[in-house]
Amino acid sequence: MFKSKLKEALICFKAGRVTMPFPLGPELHPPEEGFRGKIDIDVEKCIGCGGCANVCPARLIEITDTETTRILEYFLKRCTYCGRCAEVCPENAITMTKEYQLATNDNNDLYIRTEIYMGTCGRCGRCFKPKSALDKMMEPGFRKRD
Amino acid sequence: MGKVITLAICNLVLVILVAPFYEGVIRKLKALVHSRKGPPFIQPYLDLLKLLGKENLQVTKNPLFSFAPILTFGSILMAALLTPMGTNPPLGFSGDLIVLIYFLTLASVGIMLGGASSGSVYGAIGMGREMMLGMVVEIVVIGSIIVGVIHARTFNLGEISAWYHQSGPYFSMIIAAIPFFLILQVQLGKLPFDIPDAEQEIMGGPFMEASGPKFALYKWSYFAKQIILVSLFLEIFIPWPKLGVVPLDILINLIKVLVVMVLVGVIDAVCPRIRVDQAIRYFIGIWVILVFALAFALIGV
Amino acid sequence: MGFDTVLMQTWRIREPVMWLCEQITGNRKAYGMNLVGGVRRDITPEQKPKILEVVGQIEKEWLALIDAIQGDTPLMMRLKGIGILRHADAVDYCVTGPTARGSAVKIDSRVDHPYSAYEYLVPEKKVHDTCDNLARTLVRLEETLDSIRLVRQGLAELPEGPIMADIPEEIPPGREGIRVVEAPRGESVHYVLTGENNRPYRWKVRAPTYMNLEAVPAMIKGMELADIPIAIASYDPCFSCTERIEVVDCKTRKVKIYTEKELIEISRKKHK
Repeated sequence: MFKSKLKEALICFKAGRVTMPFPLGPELHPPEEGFRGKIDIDVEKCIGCGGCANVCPARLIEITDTETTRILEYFLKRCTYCGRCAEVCPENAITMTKEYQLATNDNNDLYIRTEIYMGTCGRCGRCFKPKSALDKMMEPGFRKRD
Repeated sequence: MGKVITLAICNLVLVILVAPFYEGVIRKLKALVHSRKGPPFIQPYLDLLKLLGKENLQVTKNPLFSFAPILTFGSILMAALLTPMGTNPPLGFSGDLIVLIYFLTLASVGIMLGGASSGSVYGAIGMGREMMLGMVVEIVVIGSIIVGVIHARTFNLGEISAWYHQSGPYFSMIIAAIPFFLILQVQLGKLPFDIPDAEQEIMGGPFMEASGPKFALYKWSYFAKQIILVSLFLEIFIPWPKLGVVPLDILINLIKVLVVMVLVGVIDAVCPRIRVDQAIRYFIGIWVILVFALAFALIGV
Repeated sequence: MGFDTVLMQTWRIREPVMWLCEQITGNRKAYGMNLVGGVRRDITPEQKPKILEVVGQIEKEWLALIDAIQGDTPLMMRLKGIGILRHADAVDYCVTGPTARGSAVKIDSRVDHPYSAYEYLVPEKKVHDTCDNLARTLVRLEETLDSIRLVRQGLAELPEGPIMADIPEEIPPGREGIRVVEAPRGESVHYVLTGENNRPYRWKVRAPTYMNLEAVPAMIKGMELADIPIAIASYDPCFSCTERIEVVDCKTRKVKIYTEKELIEISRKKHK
């Protein structure tokens, strides 16, 4: 019995200390590429197709339509970080970041709301924003002298 | 008279204030074996402070439930006044060995009463286990010290210690030291024998219903029992070196207690808990060693 | 049992596997790799030597740990001869997995009903016949080493090719599928009923703990109170896999069993 106890004690002492003072100190292994953390939505690229809502297994993406806008709400409290929305999105608007420390007191930290103006291009169907005020003032070509 | 009072206060201070530090050492050692950092050394003090501030829940109408922790802690304090910790015990008198053993057993009885009067099934089971282990273990405690009594021909603890310090190691005393050391694991509530103590199998046993200050008193009794029993062991079986100057002797005693606690802590970390009847069978085997030691003592070796 | 040391050390040995899974699949435990028709990600050539290195390190430490535990007398006193599930009882109660293999019942769904790649990577059935806690523990320990052998063999023989089968049409609704799969605790049965829009209408999993729990009375008959937690933990029950919830109203003494719809509604309301 003593030999086995010595062997166990040897295993323990050879390992040394393996715990890290993690929130107060540096991380041992920062997450690598391909880690599925919290999602990040790039509103410029989104075309409002609703593919992410169709494929989300936790059904936390809700789509409501007004006359000209489509409102997409992401309730990330229930997110399971599966990554299907990022795979399915045709414009790569949804990316998975490397954030995993997501505990918070505030519900609004885990709620994303995007409003997409549904003005679609006649040819390809991609949504784009209308002319801004500055664009409307622009006349193409050289400055005409009277 | 003044000397007695200072020694008494010194013993009480050691038992109340220094004892949780040794528990901190054992916990840090356990964490070292588990490959982790562990709590700071002063963690048991913080635990006791926190527990003393909690709400005192009265679970049953039985007055024994509130009286039991006081009985335990009080008898441990009385035992502290009779223990040699480097020098003569403060209230030593001829025959104080019997009174010391009586007070230590009274502490176990206090735990049993607390478990039995709490009204929960787990408390009753814990009380049964404490009683079974207590019956087996107390005999070894008395028996080992009786070996010293046979040689020194007195029941006074201080005189037994002084005699052994002068006469050098005896074979029977060395053999009697072995059962006492093995008993330390039981009395201090450490694995592999922490059977009545708080454990995952019966959810805390006698301490399950005790909350807040009661639990703090129980824990304190365990911490204090550590330093008392180990001091007793060291004073009777390994009383060297002794310098004759009282504060230095107390300091040397504390260092020796630290070494023994490290040993106890290492055994605590690498053993699983064994069952009550297996433990009783193991200790009945230990009685055989004790009988040998007594036989050698009677011969005079 | 209070043996925290071995718990901590085994979890320390397991840590490199978690880091490796994070690199391969993106998460430590919820892999999410399976899709209908294949897997989502492939193993890149840079990951192969890392896998082999981690597996080799684990094998070395695992063997050292098994060697150290063998002569541990207090541990053996709590494991040997305790929690005996006799062979006849094991067959009667239909237990599966390491519980059955520890009682000399030679079943393993990976070998008896091979699925996915198990025709090429054939596991060994590790069977012990002492029927006590120690047998079940040893079955699990040896299966770890066997899995290491399978990983090495799989990596060496992995053929090139696409990772996802091409499914051109929609799967028609109303079709059923049923399959037996080997989970770490035993045999799981998966039943799928397809529905509209390429979605499943019903997916039921029968977890192995559902049957292993029935064998507990036979296991603990006549034992001491202190042995019961160890016997129950030795076959590793997952109580959440036994999925029915009964709500008993103490005042009116009525028992209500929640249906699937009600459970989903309650959990969605709670998380809104």
